[in-house]
Amino acid sequence: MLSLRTLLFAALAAVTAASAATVTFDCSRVPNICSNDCYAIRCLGKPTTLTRNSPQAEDNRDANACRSPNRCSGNPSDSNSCDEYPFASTSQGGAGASTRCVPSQENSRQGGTLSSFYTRNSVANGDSYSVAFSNASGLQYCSGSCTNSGNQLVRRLPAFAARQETSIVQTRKLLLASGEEALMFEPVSARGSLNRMVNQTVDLREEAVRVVAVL
Amino acid sequence: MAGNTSPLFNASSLDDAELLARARASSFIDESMAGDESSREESGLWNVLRCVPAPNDAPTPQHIADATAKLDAQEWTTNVAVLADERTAKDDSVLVVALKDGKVHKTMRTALASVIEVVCNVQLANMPLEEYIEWKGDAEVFDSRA
Repeated sequence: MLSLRTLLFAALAAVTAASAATVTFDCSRVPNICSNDCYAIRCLGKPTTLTRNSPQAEDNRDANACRSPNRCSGNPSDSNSCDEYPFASTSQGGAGASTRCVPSQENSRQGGTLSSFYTRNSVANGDSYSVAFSNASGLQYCSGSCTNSGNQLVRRLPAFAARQETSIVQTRKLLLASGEEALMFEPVSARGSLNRMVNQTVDLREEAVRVVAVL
Repeated sequence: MAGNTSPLFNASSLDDAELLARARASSFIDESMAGDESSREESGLWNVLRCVPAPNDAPTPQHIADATAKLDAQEWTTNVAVLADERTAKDDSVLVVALKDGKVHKTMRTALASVIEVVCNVQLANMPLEEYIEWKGDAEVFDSRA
């Protein structure tokens, strides 16, 4: 017979698995970062659920166009840092990541957001988490066309060569208790899967904010 | 905190508390928490650095690499370390040491108020030290506020 402690542990594990932490990038602070992330997700089908793997981070960065010295080196200050999605510090990062030359300040801010999120939510190596975006209105790749404006680069491995002409994810809007909205992307093949976000929290500007509704 | 903290080797004339206070005065933490009413101590960036004793009175970057290699990798992030030295009390700068395979990869003199920003990015390979060196340009000390 299972002990009460075992049952409680199993229940806790099930709840934890169903409610992976969510990092929300404020696109008013990092618009170019958000553009790259949205392009990767909406136009290339990159995952929105990532698994932290910091020990792999430097090897991942060396496996795509962000390897040093990267393609953004020497650019003007509005595009002299190399951003990649999925992030280098995840198992999904590395070869095939979508890269974009962005302002150093934006990329640095993003690293701060991610670092803080990992710590505040105790996201350890092997733990999964989700990605969302706030203040993303007006950013082409977060809601509009997937036509490459010339800033996106994806290593031409066969598996990634075919850019998606139509998105394979649909946009869902999270209404937050703070009165703000956040975007998340849901695979067309799993419609409704983000409904589970209601009453969960997302991490926005180092604060856990409750999701009131998912539209 | 495990795995998200890098060592700050203190060979300066400042005590550990003063050193960390100057690093944590960073506006980067405030920007990260924009709109958040919780205290700065609750920021996930608060413990990016923790002080440890320097291996000797005047450590070189390789001394820092050797000392970092002896730290518990479960507790510390060991691909980047920081040295506060005799110069730190004079100009509020420290030496950031990026490490690769236990050896010194790159170093950059950094303003204390910018060191948390640099270290948290290098930890995750979100931005390597090379990109901050390019951002710094001809300046002797990297300062993201400049």
